[in-house]
Amino acid sequence: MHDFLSYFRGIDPDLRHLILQALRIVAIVVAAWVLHALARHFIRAFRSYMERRVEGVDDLARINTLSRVFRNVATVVIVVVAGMLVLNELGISIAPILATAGVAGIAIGFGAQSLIKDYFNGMFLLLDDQIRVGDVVEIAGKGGLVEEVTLRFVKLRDLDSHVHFVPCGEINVVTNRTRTFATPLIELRLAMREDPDEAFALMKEVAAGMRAESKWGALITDELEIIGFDRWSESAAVLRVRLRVVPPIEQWSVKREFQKRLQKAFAERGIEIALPHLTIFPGQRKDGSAPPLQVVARSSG
Amino acid sequence: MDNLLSLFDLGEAEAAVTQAARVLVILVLAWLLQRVASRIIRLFHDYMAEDRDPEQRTRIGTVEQVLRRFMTVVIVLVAGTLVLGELGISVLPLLATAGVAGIVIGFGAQSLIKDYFNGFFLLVEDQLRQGDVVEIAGRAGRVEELTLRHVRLRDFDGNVYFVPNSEVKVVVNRTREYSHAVADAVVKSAQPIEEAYAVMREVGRVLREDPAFGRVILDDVEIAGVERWEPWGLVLRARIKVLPRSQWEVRREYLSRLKAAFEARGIQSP
Repeated sequence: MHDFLSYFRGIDPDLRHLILQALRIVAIVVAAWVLHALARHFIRAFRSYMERRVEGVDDLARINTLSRVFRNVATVVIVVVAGMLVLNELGISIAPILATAGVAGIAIGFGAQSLIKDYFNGMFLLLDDQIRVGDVVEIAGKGGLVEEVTLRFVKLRDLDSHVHFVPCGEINVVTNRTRTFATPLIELRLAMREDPDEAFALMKEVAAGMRAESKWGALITDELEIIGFDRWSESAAVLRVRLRVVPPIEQWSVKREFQKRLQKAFAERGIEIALPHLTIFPGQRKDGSAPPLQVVARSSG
Repeated sequence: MDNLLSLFDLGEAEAAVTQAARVLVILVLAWLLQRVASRIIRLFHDYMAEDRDPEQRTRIGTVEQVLRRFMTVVIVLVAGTLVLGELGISVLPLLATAGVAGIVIGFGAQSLIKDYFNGFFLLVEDQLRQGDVVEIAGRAGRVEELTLRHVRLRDFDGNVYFVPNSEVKVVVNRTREYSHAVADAVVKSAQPIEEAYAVMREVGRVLREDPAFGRVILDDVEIAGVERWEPWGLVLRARIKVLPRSQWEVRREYLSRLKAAFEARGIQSP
């Protein structure tokens, strides 16, 4: 020990400086390596946390994408910073490099603004679990079945089979029509002279009939919910009812089948669905008598 | 020890001691700052959590945690750069890299940051609560979940809306303190209006006496009057003050009873 120290003291100051510099560089590299290992560890922990929250192969694929992106970003940042520090130690002025990078950063930042926004939004769509493959959603004014979700865009296919590519940065409000359960709302305009209670009883009967069948019974999880007499409309009483459907993707087929059966049942019982009707009133004189209402019938040809 | 000190001349040793003392001071200051910040955050939490329901308390707890973590990160970062500077390692490259990254990310994550800020203020100002029926960003529904980033709504059809907090500007809360069930009845133009009003009042009185609805009705029917003239008749408007969230149910029951009552009294509807 003593020998080593005295040797160190004995060496020429220039060399001593060089050795210290080398040691500093080694320290920076080691620190960078440790930091990188830490980052990898955190990313792995995040990944296993996410995997526990989701099911399905598609989601796993997305989580893999996400953790790969994180890993790459961490590596790039650590390598760049460590490189800068090492260059600085070696006495190479990094100010010009940084100034260039700053200008480039601003330029790219402006130009790639929406791209970066895409990635950020995509990441949070995944983290918040807002959209899954197979959902029916409405985003950025486009509706359809989700076929693919990446960090940059969401691919939708609508009923006409048009495919929409919506960049994640354009997505503000997400409307998900197939989350856990669906409650398709059916509005019926009943003629004013009919009894609403009779109509409700008939609707309940139709719903019960559907639930008794194995095909529909498996999809309708609850009795028909009578919302009630919703409002007084032009020559009609508007009645509302709801069905509860699981899985939610079946809500449209259930609703259509229910409406078809409803139409049949109403026709059989002779309950009138409201048609707009017009009362023609010729007016009244002050003395209470009505002027003659002349109806002229003409046949052509 | 002698050997170690003799390694450097006295000036060097003095410099090393001052340096160590400076680093120590920085660390102590950072620790103190951390304590003070933590104290302030706790006070804020206690102030916010007063008179709130349990669901909101957990949310305030989340905010508190976020703030605490944010504070710790900032203090550790600043103290770390100061210490590095003291040790003679230049922090300029670190700061400059962080600056460039900050600009690039800041542009892209602008709305994201806005989400968090808006979410924080929605919470502080207590504009929304879980279970409220609200209209935000043109979407209406019952609030299922509130986070710092988004509000999750479910509408009557069962559709789920994820509204990012940055999109929330005007909040219409339909279930605050009390609500009004507004009912529009339509009668033919030539019907006696006063009689119709009497029937509307009577139906409201009976409804209020019904134990199923009396609980939620806070006041007698208020007749607003003739709302407008339509080609098919007169629209008569009445409203009933009710507990929040029961306005729709009360309106439907009232309208359906009113229809029966009008028929019984011979008041014609189109």
